[in-house]
Amino acid sequence: MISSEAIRGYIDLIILCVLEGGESYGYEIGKSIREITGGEYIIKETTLYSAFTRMERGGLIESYPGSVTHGKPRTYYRMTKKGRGFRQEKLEEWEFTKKIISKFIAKLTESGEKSDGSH
Amino acid sequence: MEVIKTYLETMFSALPQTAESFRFKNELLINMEEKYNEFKAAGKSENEAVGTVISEFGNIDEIAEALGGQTDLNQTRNKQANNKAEKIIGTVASVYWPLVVGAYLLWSFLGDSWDKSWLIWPVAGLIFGAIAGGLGAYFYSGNDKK
Repeated sequence: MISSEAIRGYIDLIILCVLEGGESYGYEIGKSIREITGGEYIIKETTLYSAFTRMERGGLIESYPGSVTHGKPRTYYRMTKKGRGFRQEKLEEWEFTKKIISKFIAKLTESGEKSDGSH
Repeated sequence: MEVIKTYLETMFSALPQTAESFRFKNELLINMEEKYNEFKAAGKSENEAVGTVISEFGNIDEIAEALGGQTDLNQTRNKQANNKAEKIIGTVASVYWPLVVGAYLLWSFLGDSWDKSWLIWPVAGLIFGAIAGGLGAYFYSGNDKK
């Protein structure tokens, strides 16, 4: 299970990637995240829903009422144009981060130390 | 499901009871209920389903942050205002009271009026109270920029 610290910067990206596959609602989005990661990342309710609030405030997603469950309309979300742009930025940032970190792993391997060594 | 509802109510009781937090709570309840139903349908026992749903709830602080970013900010501002006010008032007090003591002693000795000079104390106390209150209000309003 990934640490919340490690994933923190990428929650928004994860949600946007799920929405890339189509508009969805809270429970389904959480379920998709679990399934896509093969159960390796089960997002907490509070993390998911506070992300929705944050992202909607930031204009990355917009909500609308959808089909009804138990007499209450489900809130559906869709990505906005701004959200698309942000997603792209975050993907590039991720690629860049990977590249940088890889250089350090390569360096360690070079000097003959175990690449998973720790001090 | 009742256990889940109660759990949610308890978690949210720690937050300010606003319309927004109420909506949030309902949203979460709908979500957790659907999760619970799916677990039951997949064959989990009542306890398992409830337990798993609750364990996947998370931390109420995240909600507090998302909702009441304003409130936290106000609390920090208030704390800062209080600290500043306390410091200044402390400095004023360390000057003010020795002066009052000095004045009291001077008046009493020179005027030989020990029977009257005691008045200086309640009067000085009231004046100090006014100064401290004024300073406190100044720092509170001064920091309360919107």
